[in-house]
Amino acid sequence: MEIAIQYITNALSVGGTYALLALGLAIVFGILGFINFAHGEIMTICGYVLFYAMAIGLPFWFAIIIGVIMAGVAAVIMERIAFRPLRGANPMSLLIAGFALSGALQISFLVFLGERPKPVPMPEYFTGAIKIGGIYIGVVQVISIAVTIVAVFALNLFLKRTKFGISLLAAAEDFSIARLMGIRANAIFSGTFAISGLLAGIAGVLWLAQRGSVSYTMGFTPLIKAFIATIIGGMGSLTGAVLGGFLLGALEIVFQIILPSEQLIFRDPIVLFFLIAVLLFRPGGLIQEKKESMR
Amino acid sequence: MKRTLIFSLSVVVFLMMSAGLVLAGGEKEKVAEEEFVIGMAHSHTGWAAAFDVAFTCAVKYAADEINANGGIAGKYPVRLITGRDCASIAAEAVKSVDALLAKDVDMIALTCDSSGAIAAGRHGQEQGILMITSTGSQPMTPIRVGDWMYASNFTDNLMGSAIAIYAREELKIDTAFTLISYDDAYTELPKYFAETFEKKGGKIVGEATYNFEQVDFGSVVSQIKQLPEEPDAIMTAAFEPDFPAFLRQIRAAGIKSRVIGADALDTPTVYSLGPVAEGVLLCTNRVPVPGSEYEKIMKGYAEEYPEHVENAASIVGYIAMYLMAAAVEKADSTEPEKVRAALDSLENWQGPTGPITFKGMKNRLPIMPVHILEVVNGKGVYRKMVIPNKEDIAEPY
Repeated sequence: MEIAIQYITNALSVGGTYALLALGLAIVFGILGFINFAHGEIMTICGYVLFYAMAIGLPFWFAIIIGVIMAGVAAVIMERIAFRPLRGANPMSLLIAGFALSGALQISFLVFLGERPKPVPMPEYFTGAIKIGGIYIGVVQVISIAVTIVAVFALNLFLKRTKFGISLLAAAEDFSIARLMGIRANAIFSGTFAISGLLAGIAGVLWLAQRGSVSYTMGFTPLIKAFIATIIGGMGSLTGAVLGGFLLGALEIVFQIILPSEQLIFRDPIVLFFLIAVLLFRPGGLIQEKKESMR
Repeated sequence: MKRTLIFSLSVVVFLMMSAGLVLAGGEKEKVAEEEFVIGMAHSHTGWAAAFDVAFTCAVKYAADEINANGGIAGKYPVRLITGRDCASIAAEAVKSVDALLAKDVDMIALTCDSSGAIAAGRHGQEQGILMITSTGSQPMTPIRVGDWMYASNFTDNLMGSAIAIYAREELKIDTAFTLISYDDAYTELPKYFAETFEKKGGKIVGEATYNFEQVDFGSVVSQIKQLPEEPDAIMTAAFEPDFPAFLRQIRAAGIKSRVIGADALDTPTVYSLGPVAEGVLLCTNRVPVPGSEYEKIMKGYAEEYPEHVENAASIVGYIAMYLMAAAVEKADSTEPEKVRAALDSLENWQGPTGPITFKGMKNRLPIMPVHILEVVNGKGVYRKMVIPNKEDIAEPY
């Protein structure tokens, strides 16, 4: 029983981080109709900002706030420089622009910030453990789960209770009609990327808390996970992205437990195979959204 | 008159061209005779860049030192040719080596990415060009390539054996648990550790595996917790970002076993992990002891490459350059055949961090010192230099 609780905690923690990242991807896809493949690099930017903020002596929590805000700012700048000039272009062009931006950012990190990972030390209370009965639950895992719940709840409130959030939802439903109703396209674009960036920043902090360092390729693996979660959840569905993230996290943990040691190398292919099977029965993902995205 | 002028001009042009050819030919011959030309096929991007870039900087630093003294043995200046980026991809490494082979190099230093080094190394092998593995520690790399490739760093079987000997003889560790990843040959080092550890009377009480970039180690933690007794030590060759995640999770679960790692742990990240990293043992080429030869070298090196001074790949590069210089000096030639023969006969060559021997070693894998550090208060504190006996070193596979 204790081990089962431990595994559930692990699955929720890993899935939560994937869910946050997938949300960031899904919100851009839902409203603007393309996957931003430079989303992982926003996480990396958050990591580097955190590293330099702490290096100059800023307090840990203040550094985190700056890191997350800078992730949001970076996403807005990314939209302004790389995606806005392509507004209205074929989604394939936007997709390729995302790939190009990702590559350019990675090389820039490498050239200007160095090839070696940079340590991001976490305070002891952040990386310790809480003992409940006979099980130890890592503080960072508890924080991951709590932050995911709070972030999803806050995003939901923002989208449903604020004027700007409602305009984002309207744009997600039908961008053309939303514009005819007086919603400013630029604000929608920037706002969407800002939210996406903030979510990537939060996920970046959680990711860093586990891995301990930031490197120029840090964003690649989480981006792939988030992409998978977004597809499984249903492209463009925010609820689906969260579900997809948790499902992916849970499957990884389950196969990690049940696979024999020597077969563990096949964990990711088996998880992907399982997810392909899900898509065979639900090609549109777990939750299929009906919407017209901007082209 | 016009015909005479054309004839005269033709004669002048012919003479100038002939003179040019003679001069150019003469110069080329002179270069070939005197210079020891090293091609550098390394990764400047991708995961291997973290090791390859520091290695290349240190080779250049050492080559500059040698050239400032008139070259190897005062007569063979070293010239480095930087190849195209191997990008931590085997296909790119092959292209890089092919381009260097076309430039008539005497030797090629290859990327530490073992798959790239093997693929590209086979091209060098066909051409009969001396090659070294740079910081690569995978013992199968020179074996798979052939008799023109040499390891220039301690190999995983040597490292695994050295740390096993230290664990048994110095720390009196009786039981150990190993954590292996089959995603890359480098992370299979615990198998070599286990072989020597058991040979020395220790007992391996369990083994777990993981995947690269695995965020959660809950199942490994559970496996260790389910053992009848907590092992004295956990040995792994995991590196960033897996190692910090693993270490934090086992400590969070209350597992107090001493953690033993490989050379890839000698990084600022590991030292910055705080109390969870206290007592972690790791292997390195660095000798951070005040007054040591290593410290003296790094003092000068830091003036040129401050960003790489803490990277153990730097001292590997520095040693590799001087090791090759020793072989050229012994051969009194830059001809690959003669340099290779000299390298094969090197015995107890005194490098800046200890003796290196190729003579009598199989597969061109040298026997050389492995330095053990322990993480204490966020710093790598020097513990011991271990040079295993030939018979204690696990066979590579």
